Amino acid sequence: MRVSSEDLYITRLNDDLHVAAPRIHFLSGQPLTRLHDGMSVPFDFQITLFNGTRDMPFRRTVDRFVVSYDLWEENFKVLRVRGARRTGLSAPDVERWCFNNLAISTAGIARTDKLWLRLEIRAQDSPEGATGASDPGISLASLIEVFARPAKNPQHWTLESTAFHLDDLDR
Amino acid sequence: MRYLRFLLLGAACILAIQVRAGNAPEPDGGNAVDDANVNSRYTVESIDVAGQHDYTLSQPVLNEIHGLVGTRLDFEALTRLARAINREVHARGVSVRLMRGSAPEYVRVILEVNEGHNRFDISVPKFLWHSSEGWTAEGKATATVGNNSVSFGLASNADDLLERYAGYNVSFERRSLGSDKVSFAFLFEDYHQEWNQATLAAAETDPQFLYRSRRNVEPEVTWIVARGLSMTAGVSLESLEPQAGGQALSANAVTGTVKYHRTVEGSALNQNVDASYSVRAATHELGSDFAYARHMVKGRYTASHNRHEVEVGFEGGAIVGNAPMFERFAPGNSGTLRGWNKFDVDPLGGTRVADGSLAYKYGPVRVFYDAGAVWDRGDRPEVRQSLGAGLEGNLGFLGHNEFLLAFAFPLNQGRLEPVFVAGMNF
Repeated sequence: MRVSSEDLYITRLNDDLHVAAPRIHFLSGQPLTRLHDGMSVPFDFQITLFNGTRDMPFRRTVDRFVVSYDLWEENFKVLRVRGARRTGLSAPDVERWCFNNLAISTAGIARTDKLWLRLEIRAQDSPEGATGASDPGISLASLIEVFARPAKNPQHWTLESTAFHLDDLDR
Repeated sequence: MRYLRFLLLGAACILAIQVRAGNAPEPDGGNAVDDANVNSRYTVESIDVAGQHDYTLSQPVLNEIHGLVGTRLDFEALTRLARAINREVHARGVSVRLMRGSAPEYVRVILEVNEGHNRFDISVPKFLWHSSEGWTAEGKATATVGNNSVSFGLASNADDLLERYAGYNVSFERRSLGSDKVSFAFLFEDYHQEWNQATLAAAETDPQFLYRSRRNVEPEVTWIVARGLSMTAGVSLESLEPQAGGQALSANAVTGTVKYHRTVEGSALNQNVDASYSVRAATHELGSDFAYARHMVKGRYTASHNRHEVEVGFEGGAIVGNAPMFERFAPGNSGTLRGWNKFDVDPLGGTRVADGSLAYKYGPVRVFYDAGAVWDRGDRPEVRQSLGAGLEGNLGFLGHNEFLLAFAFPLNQGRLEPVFVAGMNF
């Protein structure tokens, strides 16, 4: 699913760019069904920053969040594979928490450089079960590989910004 | 090698193991998947295997299911279990689903077998080496579209009968014929025969009709009467080309089989009972050159507790009338009177048979004792006994993949001449 730039909000905090997409609900459809079946669903997020040209990525950051749904307490748990976790969340809370934990550094970028930002979200197969049983561990290389190959899973979202400068974000 | 079986009947057929342990052990260390999934803190109330058709699961898989019930949810173990079931039933996939249990903190695990609409499988139904028979190998390719499946098989089998038969077979099966309880199958076989020297020599003094090729057309209908009980009826139209040349003879028979299976699963002891009766009756009214009736009864009981298993088996048969060689009983192979060479027992086989087996297994190790006799009407049966030991295991591919390395030797023969058997899926 490709979404217009109006759905992607970019903010700057210190040397990091943060993103938000309040109208994107990735806890929906098939991933949500799998969650309600008691399985966990990994969501891979990738932020790509372009500097000066849209042909060549300037910087990229990838992150995986594993979400599960508590069958008895009827709320969600989310775990950032490289960091924190939260439990007892509602679906909107999970989505918000994931975005809050996403950031890409602006180090080395001049305030007047022309930038573009792309956000990709992909729901992966549940690690539980015979067909989706893959190594639950994660590495940067494996995540990049995930985004490098064409998406077979229809549950993915791509959001692209229009051109902007760091100066624009400070106003 | 025998399998402990259970049937899951019909589209919504579910085997539920409703066992709950009072105290759930703590997870041993945990892993990344369990850590990520909030439900891993709950206890497994039951594990259901759901699918579209009948499945046969091996005892190790059943033991694994039993082992997980009552314990804290272990997603890695569930994944291994789903993969094992997937391998055994040749499904497209086995997915795991959780539901709330009947009490707080408990969950039900549903393993859904997805066969897919169209499938193609290659299997090795039998593959073994027997030190007195040589190699036996059977391969089978099956294409399944919906409820219909077509199979093509190749075989060179020196184990089951007095003859080595080599050739091909083609079969068609429709699993649902108006009802999920009725199925139809059609089999065509074309085999060429090779006779053991002992059989050829014996046939000179006791003339028997030997043939060099055998073709069989066998349509049959199976009706699942009740859970665990099925009846099969059909006809078998065999055409036999004489070894010495001349006109082919036919052995046309009506066939019937009744099978019964029961599994009793308990928290400590699992028991399986299998019994069957089959009859093949050939008459001149069916255009048969042979007129006979062949009756066979088989029974098997197994009881297992943890890694211990005891198996008791029995079979008996009788032929009334003049039956062709492929119908005659020939114990002394990889499944009966193990340790004996069937050509030493009787190179022409017999029209009466009775044999039994007692086996004890502990993990992969098994020891067994076989006893039995084959004779002709009017003769006095000579009971033979044998003792053996072996190792068995699961390779994890090619069908059920039980493999066995065994040796056995005849008792009371005055000499120790062991027979070795190595193979899979028998």
